[in-house]
Amino acid sequence: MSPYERVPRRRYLAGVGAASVGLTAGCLDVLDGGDSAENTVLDPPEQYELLREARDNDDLVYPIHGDPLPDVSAPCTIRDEPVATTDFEDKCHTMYTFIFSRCHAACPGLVSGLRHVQADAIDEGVADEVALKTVTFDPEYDTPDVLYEYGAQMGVDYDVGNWYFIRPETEDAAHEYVEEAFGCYFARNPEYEGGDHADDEHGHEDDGHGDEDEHGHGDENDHSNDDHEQDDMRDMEMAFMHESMIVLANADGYVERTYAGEVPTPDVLIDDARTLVDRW
Amino acid sequence: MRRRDLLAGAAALGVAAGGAALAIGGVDPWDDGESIESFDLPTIDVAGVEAETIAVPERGTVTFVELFATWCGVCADLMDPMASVYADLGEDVQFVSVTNEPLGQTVTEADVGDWWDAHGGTWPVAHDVDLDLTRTLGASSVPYSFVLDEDNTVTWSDSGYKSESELRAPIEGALATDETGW
Repeated sequence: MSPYERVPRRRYLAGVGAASVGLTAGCLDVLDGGDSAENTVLDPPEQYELLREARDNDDLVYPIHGDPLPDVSAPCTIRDEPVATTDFEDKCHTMYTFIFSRCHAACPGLVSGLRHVQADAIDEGVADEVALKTVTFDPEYDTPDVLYEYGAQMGVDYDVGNWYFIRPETEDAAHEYVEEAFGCYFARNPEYEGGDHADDEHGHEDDGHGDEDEHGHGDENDHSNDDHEQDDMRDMEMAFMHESMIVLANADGYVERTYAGEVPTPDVLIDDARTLVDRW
Repeated sequence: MRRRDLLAGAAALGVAAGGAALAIGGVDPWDDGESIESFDLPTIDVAGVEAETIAVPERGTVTFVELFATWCGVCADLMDPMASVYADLGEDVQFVSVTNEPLGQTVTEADVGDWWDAHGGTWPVAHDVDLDLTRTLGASSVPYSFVLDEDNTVTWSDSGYKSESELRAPIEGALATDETGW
């Protein structure tokens, strides 16, 4: 399934609800001292038993609560030097997300989420305890200058020194870092009709425009057709298809939370980062 | 090469793949008729807005609220259709845009005010300082638009760009329901 296909919320919730039914007993086991407890300080996430089972069966490709942070390295464009995930052990907690700057769908929300965590850490006086890592999988387009400007536009505070743009030097290297190590799927979009989407400020201005006159006189079927056309148009405008993922790891190098699928609202990220800092 | 593994995991859990669609928009999570509380939000100093705080959503009236951010290009695109709807329906509903950006460091209230003026905003704009409204509405992206009836129950919500008619229809629907008492 493409990440861009719509899934009715009801079905999504039904799946979660059904999954949680069988979990009650397992959760108690976890609270009694599951094997993740010694490496983590946050409470296990919802559905942890199910996630753990899927993870242990290799059905789940991304690291979850209690797993070691993948050990990978790539250049940091802000410091102009290679930075490894392990470089932060015993130093600070880290939050990762995986993006391409031309993205006008989920990626700005992911970066904004990390920016919220950075702002809160500054407000709380703990900016040196949490590092924010944004990893591009589009190094061809995302040059150091492009990334710096992108961050500035997103309101990143570079002065506090805890923001890292990580840029694997080739797309193959990005696959190793983002997809193989972190289990965050991305792929070039074969439907992409490139063109001049260089400027993010303007690249989306044709997004959904021009169809206004088509609305308002159609029946329900016409309306849903319009929706599909808009979806198709959006697909063609996206150079990559990708999974939305944010990973929060502690200063011992273990994953505390992986937010996969839905982009979490910023309060969730802030609350979990605060809890990690407070309990550490 | 791991695509199949990823999908297998996601399907087994019913979590990851389904959730991804929500980030793109077009899904209405509000089908349980739940009423939400009002939050007192500070307003940003823009033309035509005098109150220092406003209650959002306002009980006793239909509310249209849009979550936005100044870094968001689609939010800028949405200002024109919103302005048209506000010109027609602004007197009948509480019409408000709310930014949930962290303000005061790299982006200030003045920046929001400048952005607002540059994009022709003429209605109140407020700041969701503690993310209370964002959290309650579950606004996982911007722009995210909501219509709430006079009981503060969400009757429509969607993320992303909307045409004028797409914005107008759910607001008129909520107004019609209020008048008939349905």
